[in-house]
Amino acid sequence: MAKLTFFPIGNADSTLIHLNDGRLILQDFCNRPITEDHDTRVQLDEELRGYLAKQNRQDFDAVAFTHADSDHVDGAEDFFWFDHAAKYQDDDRILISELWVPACFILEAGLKSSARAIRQEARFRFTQGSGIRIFGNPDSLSTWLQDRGIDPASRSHLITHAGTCVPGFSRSLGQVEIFIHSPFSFQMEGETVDRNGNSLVAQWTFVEDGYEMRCIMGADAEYQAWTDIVYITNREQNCRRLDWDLFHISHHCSYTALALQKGEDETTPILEVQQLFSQGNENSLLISPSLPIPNEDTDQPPHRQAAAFYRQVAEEYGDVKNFVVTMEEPTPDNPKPIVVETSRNGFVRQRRLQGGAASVTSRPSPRLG
Amino acid sequence: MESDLFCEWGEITCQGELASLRLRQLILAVARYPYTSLVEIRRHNDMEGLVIDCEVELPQNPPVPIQPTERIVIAYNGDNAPPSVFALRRSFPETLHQNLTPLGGPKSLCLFEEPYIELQAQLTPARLLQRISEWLRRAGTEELHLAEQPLEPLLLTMDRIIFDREALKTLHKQETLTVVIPLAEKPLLLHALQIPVSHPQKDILEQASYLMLSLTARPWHSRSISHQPQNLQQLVQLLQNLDIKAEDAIRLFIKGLANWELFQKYKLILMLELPKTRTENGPVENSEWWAFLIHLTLGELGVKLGCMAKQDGRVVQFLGKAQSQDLDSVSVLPLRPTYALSRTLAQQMAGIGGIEDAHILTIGAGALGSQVVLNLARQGVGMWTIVDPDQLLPHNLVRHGLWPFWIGQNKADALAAEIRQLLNESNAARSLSASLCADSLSSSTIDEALASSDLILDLSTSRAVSAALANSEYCAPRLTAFMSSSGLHLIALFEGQGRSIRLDDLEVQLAVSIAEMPELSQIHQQQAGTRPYAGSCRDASVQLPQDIVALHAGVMSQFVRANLRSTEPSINIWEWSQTELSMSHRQLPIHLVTSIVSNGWTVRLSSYAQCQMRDHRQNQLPNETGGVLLGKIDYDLRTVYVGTMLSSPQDSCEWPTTYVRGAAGLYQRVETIKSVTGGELYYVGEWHSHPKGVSNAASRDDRKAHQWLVHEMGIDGLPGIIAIQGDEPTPNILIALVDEDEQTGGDE
Repeated sequence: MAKLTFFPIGNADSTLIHLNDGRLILQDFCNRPITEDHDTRVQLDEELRGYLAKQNRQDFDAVAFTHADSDHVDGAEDFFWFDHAAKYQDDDRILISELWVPACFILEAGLKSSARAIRQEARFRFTQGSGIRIFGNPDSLSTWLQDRGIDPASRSHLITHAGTCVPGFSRSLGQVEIFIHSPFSFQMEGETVDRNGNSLVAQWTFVEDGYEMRCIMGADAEYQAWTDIVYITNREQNCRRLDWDLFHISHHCSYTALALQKGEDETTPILEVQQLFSQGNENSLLISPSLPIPNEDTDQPPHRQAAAFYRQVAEEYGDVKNFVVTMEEPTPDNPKPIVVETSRNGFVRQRRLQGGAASVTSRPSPRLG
Repeated sequence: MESDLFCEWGEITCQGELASLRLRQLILAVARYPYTSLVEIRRHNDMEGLVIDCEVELPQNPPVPIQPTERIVIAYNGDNAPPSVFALRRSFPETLHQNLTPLGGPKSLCLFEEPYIELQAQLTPARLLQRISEWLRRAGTEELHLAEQPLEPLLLTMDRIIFDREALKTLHKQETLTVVIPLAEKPLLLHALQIPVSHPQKDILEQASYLMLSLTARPWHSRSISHQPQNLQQLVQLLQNLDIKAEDAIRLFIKGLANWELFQKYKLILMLELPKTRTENGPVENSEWWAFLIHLTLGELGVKLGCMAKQDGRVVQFLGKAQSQDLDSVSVLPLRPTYALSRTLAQQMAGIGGIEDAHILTIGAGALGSQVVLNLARQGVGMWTIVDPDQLLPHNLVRHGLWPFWIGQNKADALAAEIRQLLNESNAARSLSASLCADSLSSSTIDEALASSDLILDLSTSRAVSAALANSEYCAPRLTAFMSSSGLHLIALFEGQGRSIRLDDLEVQLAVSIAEMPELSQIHQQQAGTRPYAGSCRDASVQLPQDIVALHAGVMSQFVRANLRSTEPSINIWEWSQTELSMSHRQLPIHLVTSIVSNGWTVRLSSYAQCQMRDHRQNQLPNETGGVLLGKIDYDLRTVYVGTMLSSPQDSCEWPTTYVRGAAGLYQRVETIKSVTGGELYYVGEWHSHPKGVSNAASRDDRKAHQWLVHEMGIDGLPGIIAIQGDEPTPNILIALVDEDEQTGGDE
C-alpha cells in the first residue's frame, strides 16, 4: 500500500509519496514560519520531521523541485543537507539521496535564496555525477557541461526525457511507474525562462494487487503547458498516459491552468484541457493545493470559477465531495494533511481524525514554562 | 425523512425534549467530528435517537455498495444500555456483523465484539462515532470479519437450546428421536437428547415437551440468514431460499412418528445446519446452526400443514393432498444453539488438538487420584478404568474431587459415573471397586484392564500396590505418584514406555537420592499432623489443605499429558514453597539395574552401587577394600534391592590379601540414612573387593564371614548378604537365609 500526503501550507505545494517498498519521495517544499494565530497552515518542517522520525529516518530517497517558484522551494536551504557547502551541513538537516529538478532549474540565472541554493546543489551533484536526476536535455545543458570540461555522454544516465519513465521505479520495483509529461527539451532552449511551462509534470501509476491507480501531478502547469502535453501525448499515441484517478490540480486552482479566460461563474477549459479532464474515472479525486475557495471574485488563485469547473468534474465522476482543497480539509479552521492510500479497490482518501495521544506523542510539545 | 430512500424510525422530536445525557453529549461530538452532521432527533417507543449523516472512507471502487454518505441513527434506551445503531437507507447492503432484525426494518449494526459493559468506561462519544465510521469503512471493503472469526451473525436472544452436534450428525434418523427437555424458563433453556425409537426412556419422556427435527442445507459462502423470521410462513420462505422444503420435511416427520397419542401434544423445534464455505466454491469450513421453536403443538401444526385433520375430537392423518394454511399466524421463536460438552469440545476448550485416545488405568481414587483424573477427563483426555475399594465418607469431602451427592458410594464407581456424564459418553470411564493386591491380579476383569491399558497410573499411596505393579508383566508403563507426609512434596516415578527401568527399582533409587542429597533430607522428616475423623484408632486423616492437593493434582495431570507416550523414565520431585507460593521441580538421577539370581533370591543391583564398588576397588589397589550395602529387602518376593554402598569406615583394615570392615560411626550413619529415607533404605549386607588378578570367587574366609552374617541377620529373619568384587565386572553375591539350604557359590 502506498500513501500520498498533501500538506495544507496555503497556496503552496508539498506532497509526500510513501511507496510500498518504503521509499519516500518529496515533491516540492515550502516552509514559511507561522507567526499569526489565525494562520491555519501546518508547519511543514515539523510535519516532515515528525513523519521521518516515525519511520526512524532522517532522509528522503528523492526530493523533486518541480520548478523554481518560491512557493515550491522556500525554506529548503534551512531544512535540507546540501553537499555543496558546509554551511548547509549539520546533524539536524534532512538528507536527500537523489535530487530531481527540470533542466532549466540548473540553467536559470539570477536565482535568489532558496531557489539559488537548490540550483547550486543541483549543479554540484550534476558535476559530481551522482545523487541527481535531471528532466529534459536542452542543448544548453550539454554546453554547460562541456564548459566545465565534462563529457555530456558521461552524464546522460542522469537525464530523463519527457515521454519516458523515471528509472528505478516499476510495477515490481516500488509498485509505481512515473511517466514524465513535462518539461520538454525543445521548450527549454533559448534565453527566456518559462518556469510554469517547464515544470515537472508526471503521471504516477500505482499498482496494488493487480489494480492500477493513476495520479497526475500538475505542478504549476498552465493551460498552454497542458495544451502541449495533451497534443504531444496524442501525437505519440500515448493517450493512456493522461488517464487519472487522482488529479493534483495545477497552479493552486487558478483559472490559468484551464483557459485564457476566467469565465463568469465557471471556467470553460480549452479543448485539450477538456480532453484531459475527460480521462478521469469512477469516483476520481481532485485535490487542490490551495487556500480555501472564496465565494467572491479574486485576482490571485484560487479562483472560484476554476473550482466550479473542478467540482462539476468531480460530480460527474461520482461525488462532488471528491474535489477537496488542502486548506479546507477536514475543516477550513483546522486543516490537516490530506492522506490518500492505494488499495486493491482504488485510491482511498482517509477520513480519520488525526488527534489524541497518537498525534500528540508524534510531535514535540509546545513550549512549556 | 424521504421515505422511499430511508426506513421509518419513530417520530421527530427536538433537542429540548431529549432526555438522554449520552445523546446530548453525542450532539456535541457530532458537531466536532468533521465527517458527521446532525440531521434530526427522533423518538421511537422507549428509545431516543440521533439521526446523522456519516461520510464514509471508501475506495474508488468499493466491492460492497456502501455509499460515500450513509444515514445512521444512534439510539439509546436509557443511558446505561448499549447504543443501538441502525443504517436507515432502505437499500443498505447485508453485511456481516449485523444483528438480526425483522424484514423491512433498518439494518442493525453490530459494533462491539466485546461485551459493551467492558468498553463503557473508555467509549467517549467521539470514539463511538469513530467506531461507526470504522464499521462503515470496513463494510465497504469487506474487511468486517477477521479471517479467524466464526461466520455466524449475532442472534439477539437469550433463549438457548443445548444440543450434541456430533450425535446429531452421526446417529441414524430412523433409529433415534430427539426429544427436548426444558431446563429453565426465563430465559428459556432447553436440552435436546437423543433417545432410541424402539425403547425410549420413560423418565426422559416424562420431562420432555418438544421434539426436534434437524435439517441440513447445501453449503453456502455468504450470509444465509439475513433477517429474523417472525412467523412460520417467513421461516418456510427463508428455508426455500436455501433449497429446503420445510413443509414437506415437517409433514414427513409428523407422519413417521410412532406414539402419536403422546407426541401430538409436543411442540416442534427445527434445527438447521448450514454448512459454510469462506469463499465461493471453497471447502466447507464449519456450520452455522439455527434453531426455531414453532409455537404450536404437533397436532395443531399438522392440521395447519394440511397433513392432519381433526375428526371426532382427535387429530388423525389426512389422506388427501396436503395444503398449508395460515402459516403466517404461527409464530416462531429463535433459539441460540449451544453445544453440549463432548470429548472433542473438551479437548478444544483445553487447547488440545486431536490426540489419540489413551486407555489409562488408575488405581486409587482418593484426594490426589480423584483430582488428577478429573483434571484430565475435563480436558477430554483418557479412556478410564478406575480402581478403588473405598467408600466416600464425609471427611473425604475436604479434599476429594467428588461432591456430597456421592457420599456412601464407592469412590471408583462414583468417579467413573461423573466422567461419563461430564463427557456425555458411555464408555468414557468404567470402574472396579476392588483392591489391587497380588491376589486380585488374577481376577480376569482386572487382568484384562491392565493388559489393555496404555498407562497404569498408581495414585494409591500403597506399597503393596506398587510392588504388585512393579513385578507384573503388563507392558503399559507404570506411573506412581504420592505426596510426602508434609504434603509439600509431590513425588512421581515413571517407568517410560518400554519399561526400561522398573517401578520398584525407581523407588530404591529415589531413596538413595534422598539419602545422599542434603536438600532432600526434609521430605520424610516433615510431618503434617493428623486429625481423627471417626472414633476408632485407625480413623485418622492427615491435616492438609485442599489448595495444596489441587496444586499437586494440577502438576500431575500436566505430567501425565506430557509423558503419556514418552519412553523416558524419570524420578520427579516437586516442592511447594509456602513462603514464595511457588512450585519448584527437581529430577533425580536414574540408573540401570542388573538382576542377579543366587540361591533362590533375586538381587537387583543398581549400576550406581556397582560402579562405586568397582571404583573403590580400583582406587584402593593393591589393597582390598569394602563397606556395607544399602537397599531394601522384599521378604515376600525374595528380592533384595541394592541401591548404593557405604565405603570403608575409618578404622577398617585394608591389606593386599585381607579386609576388615571397621565400625567407626557406621551405626550412626546407617541409622541416619534409614531415618532420612523414612525407612526405605537400610543395611542389607557387606561388600569387599579382591586384589587385582583375583576372581570374585569366595575364599574360605569369605565363607566363614558369610556364615556369621547369616546367623546374625537371621535373628531378624533376614538373609545375610556378601558381595565380592573381583576382576569380573559383576560381583559375586553370597546370599542365604538362616535355616535354609545353601547352594554353593563359586569356590576360591
